[in-house]
Amino acid sequence: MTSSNKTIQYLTGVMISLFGCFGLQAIAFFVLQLGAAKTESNYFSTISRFQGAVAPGAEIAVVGSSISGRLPGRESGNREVANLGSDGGSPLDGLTMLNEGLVGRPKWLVLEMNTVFSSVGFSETPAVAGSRDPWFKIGGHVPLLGASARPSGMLYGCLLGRKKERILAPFVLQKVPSAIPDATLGIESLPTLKQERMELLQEGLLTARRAGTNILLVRYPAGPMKQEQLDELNVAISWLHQQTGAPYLDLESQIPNSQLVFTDSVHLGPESAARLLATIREASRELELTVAH
Amino acid sequence: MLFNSWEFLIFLGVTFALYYLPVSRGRHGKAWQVTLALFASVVFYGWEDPKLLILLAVSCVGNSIATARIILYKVAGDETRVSHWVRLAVILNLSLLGIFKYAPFLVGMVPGLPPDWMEAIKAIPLPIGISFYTFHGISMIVDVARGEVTRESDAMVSKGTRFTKGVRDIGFYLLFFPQLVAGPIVKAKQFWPQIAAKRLEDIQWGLVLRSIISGFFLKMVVADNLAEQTVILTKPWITAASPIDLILLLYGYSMQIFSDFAGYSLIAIGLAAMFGYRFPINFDFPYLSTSITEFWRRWHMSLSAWLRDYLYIPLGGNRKGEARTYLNLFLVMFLGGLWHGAEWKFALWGTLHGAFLGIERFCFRKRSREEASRPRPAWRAVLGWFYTFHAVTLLWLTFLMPDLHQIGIYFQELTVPGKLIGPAVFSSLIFGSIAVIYHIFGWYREHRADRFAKFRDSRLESCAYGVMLFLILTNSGAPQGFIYFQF
Repeated sequence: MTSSNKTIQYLTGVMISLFGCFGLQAIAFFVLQLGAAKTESNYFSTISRFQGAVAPGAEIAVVGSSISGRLPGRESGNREVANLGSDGGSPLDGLTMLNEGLVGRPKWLVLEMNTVFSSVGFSETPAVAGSRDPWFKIGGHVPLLGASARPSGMLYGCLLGRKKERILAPFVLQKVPSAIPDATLGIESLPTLKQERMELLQEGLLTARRAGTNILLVRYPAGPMKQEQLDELNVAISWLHQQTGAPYLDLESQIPNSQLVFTDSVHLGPESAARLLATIREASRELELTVAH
Repeated sequence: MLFNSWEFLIFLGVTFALYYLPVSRGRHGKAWQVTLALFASVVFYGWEDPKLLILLAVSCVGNSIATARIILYKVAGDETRVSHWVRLAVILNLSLLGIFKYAPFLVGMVPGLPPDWMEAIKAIPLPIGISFYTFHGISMIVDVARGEVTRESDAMVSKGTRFTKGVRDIGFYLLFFPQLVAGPIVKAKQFWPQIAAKRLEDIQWGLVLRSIISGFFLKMVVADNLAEQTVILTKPWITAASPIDLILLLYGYSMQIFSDFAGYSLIAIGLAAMFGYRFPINFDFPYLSTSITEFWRRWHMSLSAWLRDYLYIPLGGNRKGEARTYLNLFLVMFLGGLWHGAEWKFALWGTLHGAFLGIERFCFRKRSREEASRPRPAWRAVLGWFYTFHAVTLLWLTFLMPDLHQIGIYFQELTVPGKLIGPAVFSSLIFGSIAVIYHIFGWYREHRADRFAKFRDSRLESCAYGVMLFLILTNSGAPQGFIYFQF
């Protein structure tokens, strides 16, 4: 056999094996529906949500940290919800994605308040930088190259015993919107970096509003906070409400923790997360009617 | 520019196409290719921060002038002046390293310095790859002075155009982009004889594809996926990890650093082969070693060879008695550790390796050459492997951790039961085991050569590369820089 024939035979083997692997991956992803929203990697869990959020037309976009990330968005087959939760990040990540036009614009933007001060001093996580990479766009258009089709992510999902999301009844809320917490002090009472963070958020929210998006501030149930953190959070909620006029929903005080299942001390289990999302959607519709009247 | 970036892919495509244009087949083929590769290397290095090129230019011009003078005096038989220029050039290289890499570290140890000075010195940035191109420079100076590259350095003796060509070739050797920022440390005597016009049909595509695919696979699939988890060890939230997590993450880091650096070296070897150059292998399945001595013959081989040829042997090696040999070993490993970074933790890492080398030398000092070369019983090899792998892995702690305090926390946490962190366990096992399989493959190559020969070029091998390519495309980790870029 000549050398060039051998080379061709060798390269054919490489190609057959490459496409064979893609075939197996396609079966796992499309037929067995093993696409994973939560993988072993924070980075790719976030990227998979961001890729799911690229197409416009979502009713709701949730922005926040991994607390929001647990809510089942498009990456979990929930077409109406674009999940911009950033594992290890903050609401600024999702807001940046929206305002830079990297993902589609929703009707409602749900801002997670629990982590407004997370990673203060950092403007964005690597996942946001990764979303500007051409590979992000390719993954958005070619599902098999997307973050939710990573073989290791699918395997991890299987090991976790991931179940398909079911439509669940929302929790009953006493008051929509919730009362704005009393905060006698303004943002000038916060340390400089936190003030800057609030101004960045305000700017981002106003940009989103100018583009026609409604804003809803939400505090998720995520366990008790230290008094000092709670005071700062109340200052943030009160100030953002004043600046943007956005309504506020306090789910921490309105849904008893006994009705929720947490996988750790902060993150909700799949069923609780699905019910919580249904509750937020219900509340946003209610608020929409209020705004319309 | 990073090998694992889009801009590099475009840069590589353009450079490769221009390199083999029809003009490269003409009379000026070599001039075209060397000049183009030199220019491309400058673009590669200055891409992120063009200011860094100034320092590189100083190193390049300084080394070129010194090399020219050394050759000139060598031909004239004036050894005194040769030694003088060698000293000068080595001092120039070490000064660059001293100012840009070690001054911020050393300044903290000098009492009574004005705070403004301290801050100014500490603010000196570390130019990427300085340790590598400095070592290239020293290698060139010494090889030329030893007369090991005489034939190739003829051009430097003449004046005018030929001299310019000589300087261009020196620049090319120092800056050639595949090895510029993180090695392998190619010696002048290995590289200079290869400088010639190259033809497209001479490219060894087998070597290119194997090296590049396995290099990117190790880096992007194994190292980058592990990196996202092993970083936990360096953070305050290490306390949330259970003892099993901590142990698995340490093994994971051991596999990560191997995959990161061996991956880089393989990519460099593949890229150099695309342009017609052969680089020495840099990693020879180091975790198969059955002693620390053997480990250093298999790990970062180009650095080990450099330290042996340009430091250990000039210090006297093992020719000046037992005590001096131990001292030389200590010095080489201490300095080798510091070469990795201007921090005490690296010096400690090198010193501990040196201590192991010393102990092994002491224990086996009475073994004759024949005894050493005779195959050992399997149980002794397994025991030796077990000791070496675990000692090396444990010593990576000093390399990885930000300080000794964090190492203390690591050992403290080993005794505190906790809940397993799923992603840490999963990634360490899945991606770490790929590096283990890679080494099993290496063992098979060394110990079952006949069967390995059948595997080479077989369908099974081509399928394995297809799978690696698939995983590079679908399962790469979050983009990370190369660990050795910081050195």
